[in-house]
Amino acid sequence: MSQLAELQRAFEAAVADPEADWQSLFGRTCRGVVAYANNSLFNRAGALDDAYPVIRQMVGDEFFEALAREYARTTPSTSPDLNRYGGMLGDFLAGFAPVAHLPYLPDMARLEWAGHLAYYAEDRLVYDWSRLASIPPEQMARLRFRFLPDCALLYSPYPVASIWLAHHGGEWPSLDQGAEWVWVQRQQGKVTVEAITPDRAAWLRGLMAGMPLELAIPAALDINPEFPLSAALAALMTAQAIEEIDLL
Amino acid sequence: MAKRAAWLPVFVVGSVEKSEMNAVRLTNLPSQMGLGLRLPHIRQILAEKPAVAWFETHPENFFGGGANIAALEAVRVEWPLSLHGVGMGLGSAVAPDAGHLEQVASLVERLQPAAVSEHLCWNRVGAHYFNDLLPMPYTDEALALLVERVDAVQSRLRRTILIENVSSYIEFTADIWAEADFLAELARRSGCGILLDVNNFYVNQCNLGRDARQAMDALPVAVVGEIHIAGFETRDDGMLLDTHGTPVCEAVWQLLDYAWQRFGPVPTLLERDTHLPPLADLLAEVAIGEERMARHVATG
Amino acid sequence: MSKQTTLISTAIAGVLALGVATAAQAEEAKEKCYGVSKAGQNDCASKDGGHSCAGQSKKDMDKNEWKYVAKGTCEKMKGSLKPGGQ
Repeated sequence: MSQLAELQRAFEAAVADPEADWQSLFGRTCRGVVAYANNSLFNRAGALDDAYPVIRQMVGDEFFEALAREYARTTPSTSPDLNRYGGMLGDFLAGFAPVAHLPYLPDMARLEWAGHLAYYAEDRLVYDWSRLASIPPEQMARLRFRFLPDCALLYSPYPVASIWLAHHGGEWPSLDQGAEWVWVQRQQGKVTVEAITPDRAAWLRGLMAGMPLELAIPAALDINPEFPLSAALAALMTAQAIEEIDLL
Repeated sequence: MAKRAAWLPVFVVGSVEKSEMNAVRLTNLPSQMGLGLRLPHIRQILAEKPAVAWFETHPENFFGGGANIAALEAVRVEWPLSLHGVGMGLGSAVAPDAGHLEQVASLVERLQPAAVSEHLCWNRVGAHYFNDLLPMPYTDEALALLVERVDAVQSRLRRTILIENVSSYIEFTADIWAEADFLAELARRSGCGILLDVNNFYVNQCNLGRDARQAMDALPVAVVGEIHIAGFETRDDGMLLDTHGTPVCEAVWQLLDYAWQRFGPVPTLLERDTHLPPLADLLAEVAIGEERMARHVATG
Repeated sequence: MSKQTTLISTAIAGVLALGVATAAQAEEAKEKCYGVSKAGQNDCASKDGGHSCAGQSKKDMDKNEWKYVAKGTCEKMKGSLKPGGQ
């Protein structure tokens, strides 16, 4: 290993244990390593602020900040971009005893992270649906949809979309409302969240997995024999969720 | 869909033009005070169009698409813009993240900024990032690596970049170069310019006993393309932390006067990151800088 | 054509009859919005963490106690916590 690599590994060890004796590495300046230990921790902990405003409101500021430090302490950063840090908070909360009595928190964190990714997703041109007119009707069963990168579909056994909406001016739901399918998308730069019906969710799940229309529809019809395909397609069009449509 | 600013020259490594103040023109920024552009202020800036000569921002906060980059493109239409990276970690022993450089490159392409800069630092061991600007050991090996890395970035971006001195809370016993000499030698060998952070030299003077004026004297006049000033905070034990969280202190203003005397009135930026005050407060501080700069130009 | 193929082509004909947003309009709408709502987490400042010493980065949970109580909007949540099924 090069001397530089060795020095940087030693620095990492010092940051992990700043109160040990690092004189041989830093000489008279060794007390300064505490500043790096602080910074490393608080930079990562602070990065959760942008991604999880609803979780913060749900648990309160003091709890959230302690939670963020605990997450940062146990979760290394794998990106030079701090806006990419914090994606595992849902999994972390699922194993975090102090919130075991709030079992909907992990899914809320997953929802907020999906929204965070949507906020920063690449800009793409939206599909021009008038192009569909040139496709022969007998081939339309084989249409495949590529979604814009700012779209996401989630499922939770808790009404997390309704809880999210309650934090944005909506009605407070009852937890007894049960499961929800959640559609997350960036619209005009803003992240939107919507609870969608299980039949439409089943259809979207197939389409997002790359299935052609004819293979995605049966799952929706199983849930609702009257599945309104035309309305579901129109919603995709007006939501500007599609980047490309091609034939399998 | 990217708005191209056709009137801006594309900077090409190795072909730089002469200017009045510096022997080499390293940026296309005006020789005036600029302000660090932070996202919480961006809508107000677009609505009110304050009289600031130029803005600088961190490219990492505009990766991807959506509202942030759309707003920054609107800023770019009205003001000269500098992109000041914080994530490259050029001095990390492990190979840099190629995806990160590509994202910066695509922003540079999209925005055609008047300046691009990064820090003299490292940020990574193995797959783990510190997300911090960590001080380099000032060794020959580190210097050779940085020359190579800066060259790779300049070649990819097809323009000269500026490298900034950082605040440091430690120094390595392995150091064989003085910080400023190291930076000057990096500029000489790689052809990069220097972004002189006066506040960082002051913080290092207080924490590490490195003389800030001596450090500035060690930098060749021609390579300093931009200056930064900011505020720090003092920890309970007396250590200065470079929090960019307070107004600029008098000692740093005086060091800035010294820098302007030596390097000329190069483009100078007020940075503020933490305890972000209302925009009006920052504009007032920029105005103080403009006044001092004008006095300096008049007497200098 | 099969029944499903007819269903699909009829549905799409219905959508097309609604009139379609062109890609250009859509793009324009996306570009004009400055709904900036995130501060951006990358900066070049040191964090002082309220002047605390970060040896604490090791200490928080070593004490094996968590002294914080979740006191936020989760208190407003009504209903039981029986997960809904699917």
